[in-house]
Amino acid sequence: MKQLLVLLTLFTTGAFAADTLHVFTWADYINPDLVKQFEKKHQCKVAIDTFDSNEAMYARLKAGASGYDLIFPSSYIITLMVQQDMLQPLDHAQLSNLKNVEFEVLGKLADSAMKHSVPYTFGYAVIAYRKDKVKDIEPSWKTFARTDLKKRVTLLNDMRETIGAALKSLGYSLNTRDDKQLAAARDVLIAWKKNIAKFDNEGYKAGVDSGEFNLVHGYSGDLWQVMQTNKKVGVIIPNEGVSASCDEMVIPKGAPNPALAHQLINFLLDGKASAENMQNIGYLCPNSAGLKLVEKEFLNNPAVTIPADVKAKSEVIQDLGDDLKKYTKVWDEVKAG
Amino acid sequence: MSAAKNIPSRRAEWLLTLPSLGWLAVFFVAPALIVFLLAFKTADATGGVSAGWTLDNLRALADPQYRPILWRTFWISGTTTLICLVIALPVSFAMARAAPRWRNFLLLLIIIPFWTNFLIRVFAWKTLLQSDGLVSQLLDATRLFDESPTLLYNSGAVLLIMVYTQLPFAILPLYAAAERFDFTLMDAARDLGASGFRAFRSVFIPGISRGLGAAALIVFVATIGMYVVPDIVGGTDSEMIGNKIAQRAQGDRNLPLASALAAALLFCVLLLLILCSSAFRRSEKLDNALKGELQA
Amino acid sequence: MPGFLSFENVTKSFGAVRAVDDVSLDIARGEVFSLLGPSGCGKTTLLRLAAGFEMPDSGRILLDGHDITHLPPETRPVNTVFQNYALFPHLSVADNIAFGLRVAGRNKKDIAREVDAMLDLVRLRSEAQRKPAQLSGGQKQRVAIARALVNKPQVLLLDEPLAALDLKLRQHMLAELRAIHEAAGITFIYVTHDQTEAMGLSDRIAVMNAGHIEQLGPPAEIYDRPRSHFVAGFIGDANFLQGTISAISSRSGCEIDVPDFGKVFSAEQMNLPVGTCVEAIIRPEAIQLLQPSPDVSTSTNTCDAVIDDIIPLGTLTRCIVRMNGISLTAELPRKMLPAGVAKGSRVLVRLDSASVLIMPRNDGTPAAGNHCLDDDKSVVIP
Ligand SMILES: Nc1ncnc2c1ncn2[C@@H]1O[C@H](COP(=O)(O)OP(=O)(O)OP(=O)(O)O)[C@@H](O)[C@H]1O
Ligand SMILES: [Mg+2]
Repeated sequence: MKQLLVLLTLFTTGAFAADTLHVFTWADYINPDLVKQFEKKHQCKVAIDTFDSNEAMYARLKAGASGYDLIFPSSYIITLMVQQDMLQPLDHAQLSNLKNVEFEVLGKLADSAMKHSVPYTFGYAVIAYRKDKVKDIEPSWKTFARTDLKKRVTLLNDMRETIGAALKSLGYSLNTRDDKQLAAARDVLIAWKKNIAKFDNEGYKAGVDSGEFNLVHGYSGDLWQVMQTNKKVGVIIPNEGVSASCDEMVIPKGAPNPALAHQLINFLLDGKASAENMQNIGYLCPNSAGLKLVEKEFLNNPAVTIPADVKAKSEVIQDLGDDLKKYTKVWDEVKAG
Repeated sequence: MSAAKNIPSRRAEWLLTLPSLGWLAVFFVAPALIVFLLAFKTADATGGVSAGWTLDNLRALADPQYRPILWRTFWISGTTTLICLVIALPVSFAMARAAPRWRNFLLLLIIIPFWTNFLIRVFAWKTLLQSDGLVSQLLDATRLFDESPTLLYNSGAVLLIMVYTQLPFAILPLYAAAERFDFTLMDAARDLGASGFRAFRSVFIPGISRGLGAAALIVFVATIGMYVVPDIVGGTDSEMIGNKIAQRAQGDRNLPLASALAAALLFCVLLLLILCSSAFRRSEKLDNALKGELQA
Repeated sequence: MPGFLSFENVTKSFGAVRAVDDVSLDIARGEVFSLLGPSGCGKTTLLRLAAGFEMPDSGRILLDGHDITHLPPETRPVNTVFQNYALFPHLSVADNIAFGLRVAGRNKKDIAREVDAMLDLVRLRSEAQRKPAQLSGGQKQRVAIARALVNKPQVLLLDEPLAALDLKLRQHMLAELRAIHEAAGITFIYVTHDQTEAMGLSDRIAVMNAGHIEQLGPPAEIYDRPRSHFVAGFIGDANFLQGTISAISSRSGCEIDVPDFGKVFSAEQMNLPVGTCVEAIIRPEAIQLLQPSPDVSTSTNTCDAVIDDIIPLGTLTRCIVRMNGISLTAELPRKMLPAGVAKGSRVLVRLDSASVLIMPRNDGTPAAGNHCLDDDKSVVIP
């Protein structure tokens, strides 16, 4: 035991040496070539630790995890983190590339002045399907009501996304606080539930790739990655509108290396880096300089650029404070129903 | 041994057990206490825990929404336990009767799966059972079905993999008991006219009842809090209490309610353990009393 | 006479060990038949073959004319009292006894009645509700007998049922077993390595050694006329004297020359030529000790000796006497001892010629000394 502790201490102190930048992000979320370039340029090491949900990341920080320099949470949880005074204000003087951030995207975000956060990617929760197995597909959330898919269907195991999809299918806002609308969404979900195999956040990528699943609800960038290697997988963008999420870069309070963190933000905001990055991870980076440099084919991919009319109906998931309970209640009822 | 000699050895014994006691205290008792305490706190909207105490979380446990989940949890754990015992009984019997060198080999076979990480074994099953997996291909080859049935994402799959993962925990205590079992009792039963099966049922099973109790307890306690298996291979109708606790703690950001659920589960398990160990002790005491009476 | 239970050339091996080696045996209906022999000689194996727990490698087992060799144990009308009783620890005395009846599907009333009758027979009525762990050794043994008997078997197999008991209890239980046998009239096969048990209980005894039967017959015959060194040594105590036949008389027996002792005359009729190496077997009670006196000293079957040791055994006294190079054990009633003998006294030893048994020494049993081979004193009758 003691030896183990000693080992752990050695390991952690070694890993948190001064010339190392500690990044906490989603899996496959930065082009590894860029990481290498950055390491070379700044004579440092970038250590990447991953999380699979904002809640898990938040819980970990709340539980006292420290030592991270740069984190990539979604915008709704950033609101909460700002409230909780967990983030450092950004020093715009060190971020010359801030000018590249798309103005239009900023308008949809709570922190539009980029006081604590800088938009990194912009993605959607959409639907992917097997072209060889699902015929006559409509670009609509109502596809989940189809009973002919033999339960080879998944919905995200994320109450905001999935209740959001049901709300959207009914034409409501996915940030609604209206009990009646939520009750209607619940009934829709209970009906959908009969057609799905499971609520799933992790397996859908591999599942739709292997043909295990015929229809999945998932994040656009992940699905774009599947489409790159599997031509049988297609994406539809429900015309009722989708949930958009913006992952942003933040520096937590107590970050050991804030200067280097600023450097990495600035590096990733560079037009050329941004273009390289988005074509590797499959998520659109709201970077005007970068978007000019990417290939047209990439931008035309439906998983990257959604139709303007759908985009207009899309919303970013917001933190609802105490009203989150209403969603929890609906979610419990759906799971039990 | 004299009392005077006893004391230093007692102290040595204490000193020796101190590290493991400390380990238990830090990694088991303390977290359990924290869970119990958190169950009496209120959650704030930000996922934190606010000051002050409340019984609301305990009251929330009475919410009818938990009943089907509890029912399913008990049903799946109970059935897993039963199936494990039904399989483990003949296996342990056969192992105890096997020649000694075979015995060690069989024991090894049972222990080998532990060399592989639990999650990897669960995912291996997932690979086997998925629509283009080996089992489906075999089923397709039989041409019994127009289209191979979905094997994953239902309570049956959860049950199967729970049984798979828990079976060694049923076999080992049963084998330990069977090894100590006096097999001439089986001969005696056969001699008195019992068929092999009757002898197994009326003599072997009662003879290893303590091992049976231990096996049942271990499997039941291990499965009742199971989270991973229903999460990976379960479907929309396989949610167990462990999954609900995870949802409360992560998605809902309601640690106190998650703690209340976990505490209730912990409480059930503790109760079960206390009942079993007191039953065990009673039967042991009875045995000793009987022997004492005889010697007196 | 065809037996009720017959073994025909039965052989059973465990790996290299021949536990039962070509045994043929007929046991009569209602008989108490004992299997006697040293540990590991195959007694239990023979019983297990009869009960059906082991299948013979070759040979047949017949019960009342039917071949039962390959019947499973539960279908044989044979019950066993096991060497360690094998009582079911989780069942009470009454339930242990009722086990066979329950398995047979008898109705509750019958079971209760027959169990009660058995409890009375073995006098365990007040212990009926106890568990085996609460019983003494003798009580356990009685439960084991009752549990077997209640099924009214045609043959009851008893595997050293008294081995775990103290002497007093053993004698008591032996009497009980005899009574039970009389009451039940069942064929008993009784395994023991205690010869007094076997002698006291049996109609016939088979003495086993290394998987085969050395001798089979009524107890008195086995004792009085052992046919081998092994049997003589195993059944009762025996003195062995090595010698050579020196004269044969067709009517009255033969004379052998025993070095260090002299001439020994046996009443036994032997078809052995003069000069054969033989062994004289003398039971301790066939030895008389007399006051040394010159007029008898020269006669056959007598020899001068010195008392080495005197061991009182209760009614009998055991004396170890030494003459020249050999020593003999005698057992005789105290009042038959010559007056005033003590350790070191000189006595005259006399062997009862009717009780001196002779057997050739080529039976494979190594003799104590090897006098015979270099014996130059053998006498040929003119
Ligand atoms: N199941 C078995 N496997 C191997 N060897 C065995 C087995 N049963 C008996 N034997 C061997 O067969 C021989 C006869 O054994 P058995 O038990 O019949 O002796 P026994 O006469 O009953 O001895 P005891 O008086 O000690 O009970 C022994 O050498 C024993 O080691
Ligand atoms: Mg034996």
